[in-house]
Amino acid sequence: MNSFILETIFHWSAVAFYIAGIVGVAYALIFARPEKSPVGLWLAATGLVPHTVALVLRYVHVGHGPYMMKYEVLSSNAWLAIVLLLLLVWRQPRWTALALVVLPVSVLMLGFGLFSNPEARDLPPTLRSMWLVFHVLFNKLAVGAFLLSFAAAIILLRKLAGASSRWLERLPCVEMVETYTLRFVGFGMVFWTTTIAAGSIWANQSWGRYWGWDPIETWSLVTWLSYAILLHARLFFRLKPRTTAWGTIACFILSVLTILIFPFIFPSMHTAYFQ
Amino acid sequence: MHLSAIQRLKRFLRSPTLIVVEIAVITLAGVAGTLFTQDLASERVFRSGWFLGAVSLAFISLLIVAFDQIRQLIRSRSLRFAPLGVVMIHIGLLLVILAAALKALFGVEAMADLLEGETLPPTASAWAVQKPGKLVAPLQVANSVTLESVNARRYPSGDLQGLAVRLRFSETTPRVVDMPINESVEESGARLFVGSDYGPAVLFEWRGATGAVTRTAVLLKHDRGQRFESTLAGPDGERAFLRTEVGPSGKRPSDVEVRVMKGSALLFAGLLSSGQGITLPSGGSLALRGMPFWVRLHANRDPALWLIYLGFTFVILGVTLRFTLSPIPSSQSVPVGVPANERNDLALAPQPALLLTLVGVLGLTACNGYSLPKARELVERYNAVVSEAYRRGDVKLVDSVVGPNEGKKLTGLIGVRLDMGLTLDSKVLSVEVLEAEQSKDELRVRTRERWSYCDRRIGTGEQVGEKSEDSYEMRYFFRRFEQNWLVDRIEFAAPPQFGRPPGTWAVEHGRVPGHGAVKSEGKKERGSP
Repeated sequence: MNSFILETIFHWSAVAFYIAGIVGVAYALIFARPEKSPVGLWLAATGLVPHTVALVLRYVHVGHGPYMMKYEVLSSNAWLAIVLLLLLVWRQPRWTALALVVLPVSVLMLGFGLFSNPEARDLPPTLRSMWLVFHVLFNKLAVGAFLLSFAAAIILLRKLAGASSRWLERLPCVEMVETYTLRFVGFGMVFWTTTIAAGSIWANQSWGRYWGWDPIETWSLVTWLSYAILLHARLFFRLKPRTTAWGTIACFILSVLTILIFPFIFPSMHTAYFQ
Repeated sequence: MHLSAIQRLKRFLRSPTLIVVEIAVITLAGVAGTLFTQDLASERVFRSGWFLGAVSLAFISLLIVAFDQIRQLIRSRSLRFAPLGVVMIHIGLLLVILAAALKALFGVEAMADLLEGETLPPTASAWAVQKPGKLVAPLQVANSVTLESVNARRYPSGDLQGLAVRLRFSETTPRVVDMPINESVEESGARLFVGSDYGPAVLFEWRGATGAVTRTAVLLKHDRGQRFESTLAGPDGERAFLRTEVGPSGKRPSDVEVRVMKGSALLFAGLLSSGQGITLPSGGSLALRGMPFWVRLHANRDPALWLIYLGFTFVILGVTLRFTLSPIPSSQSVPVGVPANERNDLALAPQPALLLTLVGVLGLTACNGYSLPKARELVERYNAVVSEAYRRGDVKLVDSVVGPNEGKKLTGLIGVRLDMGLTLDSKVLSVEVLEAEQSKDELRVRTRERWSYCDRRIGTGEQVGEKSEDSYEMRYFFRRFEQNWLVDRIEFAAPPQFGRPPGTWAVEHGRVPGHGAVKSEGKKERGSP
């Protein structure tokens, strides 16, 4: 059996476990059986095993990290988002409801990757740099953190809309959910800033300039500034939680566009690698 | 009174509204900049007066805010992470803007293409491209630099795997340095480095019909896979199309595929090795004198590079302190829970994120849907490339526009003509796109087209048979291959209307003029410019 078939089998096994996890968490939360939610989370955690094996096989097959091609980039993004989610709910079990947003989005991301071109692409010499590893790793962490902030913003809106259920009651009060939303945004900002800085240092090493107004560079700055506007506006104008939640969702959409959509629309040096 | 005016100005510059507006303007400028091509964006947005004004205003606001925050931090006499983090972010951003300004004023970038064995003299004019800052002279290094050799490795797919150059600096004690991609050499305060731009060069000696000799080094650029291509204009209106391949070992190629055309006539097609030459029908000749590698050498000097790295460090430490190690206060005026009767209002209220999503989805849909002008663009590109392939008798040209099926068909059709000693000189007179339908991976385009054709004899370019003007209604089936729409097959949507009876080609048996008409001019030699 060749490596690609094995990869595919492990990837789809992971998808199956994640979907079972979503069903488990949804059952626990929708039918007000919070004590059952660990079953769903354990299923999702089990999915990480075949997913990790698939990513390792990919690494062995292509000889480089998940830097190129939607197939490997999206799969590894989904992996990291799920790891971040499980770490969070392990430390803060009251936040299990986030899984209802993060897991489906991660599965969609993974599915989208699996249906894209799985061709192995050789790593160009300019990409052989430690700064690329930082650039990509922190980008993935930022995606995970922003995804958590998006999920928290949705829960915040549900709570503000007066929705009531046992699982919403298990979550902290509105003020705390809002604070956590911003905490995740803050984590995302740390990772996003590091992504931009590492990318700049690498660009200077490979192309002799740390900033060239490449469209994706520019959109990453636009995303950073949009989050900065949100944080400043909340501080200066005492935004209400609902506005903060909508602002977080808008910024998350912008970050997704920057990472996953714009590289296919705007001609950029990022486009060449992320096909 | 004077002091009060300064205070009012200071208050204005640090007012929350102005700060948010400044960030918003820079953000919107970024969005606007991505709507143009990179060069145009630089010119119209990022180097425009209004953008630099907005950044300068933001810099002054940031300076005032940071100054006040530092003062407050010192007065508070307690080290709290949150205010310290905010101060560090702001100082970091100030350093980044300052570093960018210093680079624009005192930085310099230069670039030169060097052949193996070529020496770059220690003068500013030796560099082909110079981009000095506003207040600095063009770049000049103290010692001459010789490109001794280029060592490249390619993957079996043809993509570049590694590239290193050996440079010799003519100092008192000559210094030889091996420099791979992503590493650099310091020379006279400048940083020298190479990117991925390299390839084989072709040293041609072209003797015109009048006897005048032109010596040219043609730099072949990477096209696809292992293929490198370029063109060269001849002294009597000819054009030479050049192509060679560099295998995985990265060794210098020993020959180059040459097609010489004059207008629509193919005068020569064949392989030339170093030392070989050909005689052209005009009486001129073309000789290959060598095939060294070339590489693009970059140099830059940025006196504020350390400052920008310091700025990045401050910003990263600042956001880490502010958002991970310090509490985030919740807003005070939050009503806990919203009455049930407000839930409908929530659904009906303006939803900015929803609107943004909708605009995004609409935008993406517009990008994916194939409008008639876009379909026309694809058809016209296909027609232009295939016409040129027929004209040059060069089927490899069509790789960028056709899939494997259509590629095989064209290989046969063009090959048959070459065997007959003919090329096809065609011209599109009109193209009308009638409809374009797109499914997931297929795009079908129906067109009405008028073409003018004539056959030309290879070697002389003489027209063979009559000219013909034909009308077709065609159906193109494009398929998506790695994000590109390539022609998978083509069929007639209606019987074609020919302007001349078919079967009038004159078939010439025997040797095709131009093919293999290579005369040897001595042993292979390694060239230098």
